[in-house]
Amino acid sequence: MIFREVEDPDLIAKARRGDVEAYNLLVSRWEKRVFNYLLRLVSNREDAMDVSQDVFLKAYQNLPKLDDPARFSGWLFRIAHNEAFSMLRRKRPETELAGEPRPADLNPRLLPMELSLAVETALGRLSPDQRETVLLKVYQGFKFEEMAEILECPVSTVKSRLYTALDLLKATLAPMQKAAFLKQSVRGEL
Amino acid sequence: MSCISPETKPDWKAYVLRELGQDAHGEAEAHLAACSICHEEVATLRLTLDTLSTLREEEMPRRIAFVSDKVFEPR
Repeated sequence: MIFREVEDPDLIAKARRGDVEAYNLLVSRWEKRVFNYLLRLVSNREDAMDVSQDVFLKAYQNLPKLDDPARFSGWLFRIAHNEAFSMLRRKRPETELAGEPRPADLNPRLLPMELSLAVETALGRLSPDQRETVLLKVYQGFKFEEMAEILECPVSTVKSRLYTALDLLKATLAPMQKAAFLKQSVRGEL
Repeated sequence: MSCISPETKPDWKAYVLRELGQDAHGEAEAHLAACSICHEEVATLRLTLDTLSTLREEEMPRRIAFVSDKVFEPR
């Protein structure tokens, strides 16, 4: 294949030289991931959209300060983390109400397609710090060291939060998925 | 065989999250092959991660404004 996709650091270099289209392309690559990360943090689509917009504007303005273009993703998510928690602090009373776990029924006999909702509910029951480590590790694939940079805390803290979160999620979700798989296999036999 | 020395047990969460170094990963694999208790623990952790992966990725209500400026205009 002759065509080689332009790498992020190349786009960053171009954007730093004022190439708006290069930055637009960078945004199009990352916007959905950033939006979904923010959505799970702030639990509101419009707020997540507004914060996403702020994140990419701030990233554009601060692009010259990015030391290592190869670490763009961690840097971008650190901005997203800071913007999200800044927004949550501003809206604290409202967010505390909105952020309370919904009274979803964690039915142990869920169909596989219903697991997504169960996961959302289970994530909503974690503390914000615990939930964020799951989002960064499980859904965004960051390494412990990168997470520590994004969250500005020691790796030991990252691991502690994430491991506690996984224990809680394991206790909630594993029985459901076992039931779902069992149900699926029973249907397959019929 | 069962796991008789919990203090030397591998860090199974780091294992399933692919955070162990090459040597530690190899040692963990060897332990896992011989220990039914740890095998069960790892299976449950993997099941949890599989379940977490069922979370749907949401579509954005609209694109980031920057993007809509130029790149996606018809040529």
